Amino acid sequence: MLAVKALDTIKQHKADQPNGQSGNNQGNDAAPTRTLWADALRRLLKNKMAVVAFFWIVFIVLVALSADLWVPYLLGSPTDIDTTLAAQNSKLPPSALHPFGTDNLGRDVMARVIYGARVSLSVGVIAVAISTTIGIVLGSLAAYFGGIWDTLIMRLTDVFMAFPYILFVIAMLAVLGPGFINVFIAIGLLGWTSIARVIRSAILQVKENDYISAAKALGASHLRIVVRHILPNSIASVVVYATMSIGSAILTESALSFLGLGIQPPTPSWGLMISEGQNFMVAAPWLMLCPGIAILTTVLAFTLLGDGLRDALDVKVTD
Amino acid sequence: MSETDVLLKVEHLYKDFPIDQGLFMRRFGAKVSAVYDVNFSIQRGQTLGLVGESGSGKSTTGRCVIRLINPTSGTVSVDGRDVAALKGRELLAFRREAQIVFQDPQASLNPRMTIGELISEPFEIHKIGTKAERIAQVKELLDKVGLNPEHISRYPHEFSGGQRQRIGIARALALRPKLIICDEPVSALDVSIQAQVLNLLASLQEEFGLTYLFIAHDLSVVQHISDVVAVMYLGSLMEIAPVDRLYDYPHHPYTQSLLSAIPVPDPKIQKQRSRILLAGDPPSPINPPSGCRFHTRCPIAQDVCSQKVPEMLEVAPGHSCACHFARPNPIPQG
Repeated sequence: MLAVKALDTIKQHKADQPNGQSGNNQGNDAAPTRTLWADALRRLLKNKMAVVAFFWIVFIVLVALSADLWVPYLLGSPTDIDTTLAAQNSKLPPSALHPFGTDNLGRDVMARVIYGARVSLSVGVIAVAISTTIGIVLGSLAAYFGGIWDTLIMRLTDVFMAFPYILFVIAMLAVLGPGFINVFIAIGLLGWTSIARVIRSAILQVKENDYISAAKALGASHLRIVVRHILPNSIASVVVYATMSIGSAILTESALSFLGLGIQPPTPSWGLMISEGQNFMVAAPWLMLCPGIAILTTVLAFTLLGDGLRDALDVKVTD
Repeated sequence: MSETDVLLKVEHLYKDFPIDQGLFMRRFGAKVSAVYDVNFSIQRGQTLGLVGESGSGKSTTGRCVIRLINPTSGTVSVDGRDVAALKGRELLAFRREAQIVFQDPQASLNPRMTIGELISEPFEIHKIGTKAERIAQVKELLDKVGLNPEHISRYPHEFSGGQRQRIGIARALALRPKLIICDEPVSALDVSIQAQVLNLLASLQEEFGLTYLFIAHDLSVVQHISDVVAVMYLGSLMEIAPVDRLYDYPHHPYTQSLLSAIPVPDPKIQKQRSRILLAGDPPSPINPPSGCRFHTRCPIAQDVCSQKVPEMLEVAPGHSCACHFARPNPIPQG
């Protein structure tokens, strides 16, 4: 509450200044110059859950990126197995030396969770980037040109949506073969349908506005109308949807690795670790719980951030 | 009126909209006949007021004129060139000659662009001037329409309705067009603001020699700004006449009923004068009435009206009326 008040005070302070300086005759009640995105950021910062989620994501990203600098020295290698000590170090419960314990081959679980974050986050971001790009292009074509384009593209999405998603991904990986890059491709190529629907409906709303007619009357090209007028006004829902689907992409990767179709051992991935850990569920529950909690918190963080973004971006223009 | 300096000429304009957009439904051929055989012309520097109820096809006519939509048939010529035939570069060149001001200034300005970006967009599209020149032009335009040029980096939602409409006018004016379609530019504004915007439009017309096609449903607004007034009903023109003649000697029963509906600011006269009340609502344009489109609601309709489409006949110089039984019936104005 205090922070909000402080923000408002700053805002008012800023509002007074330009008017005072320019000495215009429009009155001091005119709103200060600011962008709608800055407004959205201000609203987002008021949402505590979203802020916490954002910092959690930033924390995970930093830890995963800096892993090479400290993890091997403090916790040990996430992949290499020291055969002489493996039996001795196997399935040690969490301790000061191994905060998350060790797995059946004597590797540090925390090190593996941290390196697994690299896989999960890059799958989340890259696969969603691929599917969002495809979704935006196809959804825009369908909504903007309508007619036969709309019919063809939307029936295509119906066909894609009619298949059970996870089975489709499995079938695709069976064709492409398991592997890091192929997981991106499979999830990315199959996830675009919902994005295409979201952007299509947003554009259908926006394109009826007179400012689109005005741009046409000025002679603007189709590309210009879509890029400058339609997308900036319909992208908000896609931003929200994409953020949330990062979570589901991470889950899909986990499921695929769990099934043995995704990341191949010894590279750690959260899904793979759960898959391996389930054999020792009773004797060494931390083998499953640690990567499980990592997935839970990360997916939850992306979902909460998406939720916050929706509230921040979806507000009608206030006068 | 001489025929020598006609800027806009619309001949036999028709516009149908197919109703069923589905892949297999089109064959049934159901359509809305939005504009039906409309003819008029506007002299350079003059204003034609186009009035009619909502759904009478006046906006559709305006949008056909500047090729926002393609007419089903008929010709629209601006400065002697057929607008419907323009393509590519020629169409782009035509965009510099004809512009439009919309009804709802809120919906006609992109909320994510500053007014500087909005008004300089025409220059960007037509590759006119350098960045600095564009900014100077925008500031000049803002000044012309009565806005503070320092507000160039503000967003539309930071302005009032009247100010936003001024932004819309500045954008339409940017390319120095000859013809501006004003599509109910003041209907969405407060009455107190309407007069200001109308006066602005009038002074800009004088300064730049603009020609207006002024679309409205408010007869008193049209009377104020027009040289010639055309009355539309269900997609067809009913009557067209110089403004004073139309208001003093309306011939068409529809025009007469519209004029009798304008309230007179004098209770005595308002009580005494007779109003022509039309029964019912306008029929659906999907199945428009045969013959004269107005005959279902016309107080003086006879058998012939449902069989034969009345021709547009000149009853006085510059005054034409489409009615089998047209007769002058001046309504006392007090």
